[in-house]
Amino acid sequence: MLSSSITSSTSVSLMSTMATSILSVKTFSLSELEKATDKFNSKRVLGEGGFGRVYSGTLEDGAEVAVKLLTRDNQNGDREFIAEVEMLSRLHHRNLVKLIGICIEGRRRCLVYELVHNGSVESHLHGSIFISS
Amino acid sequence: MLVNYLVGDDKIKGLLDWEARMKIALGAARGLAYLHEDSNPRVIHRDFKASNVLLEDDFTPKVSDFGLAREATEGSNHISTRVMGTFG
Repeated sequence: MLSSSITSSTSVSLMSTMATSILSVKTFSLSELEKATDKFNSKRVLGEGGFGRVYSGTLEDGAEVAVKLLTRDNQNGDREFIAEVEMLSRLHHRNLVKLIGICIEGRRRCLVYELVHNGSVESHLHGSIFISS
Repeated sequence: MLVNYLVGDDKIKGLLDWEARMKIALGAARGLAYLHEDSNPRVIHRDFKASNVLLEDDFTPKVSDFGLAREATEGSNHISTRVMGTFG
């Protein structure tokens, strides 16, 4: 299929673009992340950013994670994805969120973070938008 | 538990006391200071806001969402670009 070969070559070039940084993060399959998040169940939504929804999940080894499923399916989306992976895989500080891994499968892009349990500062100040309305 | 904050449990509401707020402000500033001065490469976050500062149970803050972040180039030839950020 033409379309699938295009998508897979996109994935390959994306992987090589990030080859230097990718070593420090795990690569997850989409099925692993679907399993962790009950197929991206809407009940597991923690928040929504400009670039995608964030779901809570539990990996097979029991580790609790936050999985950001990127929604933007275009060049800009990939640029943001690469920017975030490249930055976070090289940045390590106790006051920065920790990137555990990524998922690149077909057109899907996911970022897997260590779960931070207590919500955002905004949710403490203004209440969660997912409950208040 | 997060659920207590989400549903507004009365006993827990208002738990962001001054001590917690100071811890959040200082920790978030340390995160930014690391990004600006100590990390390699140095990084400008460009989307720093309350919804991008996450909290551990003990209110240790964690800066998140690096989708708009860029490497800070060395030297003084900074070119001001368009306004950046997201609503919130």
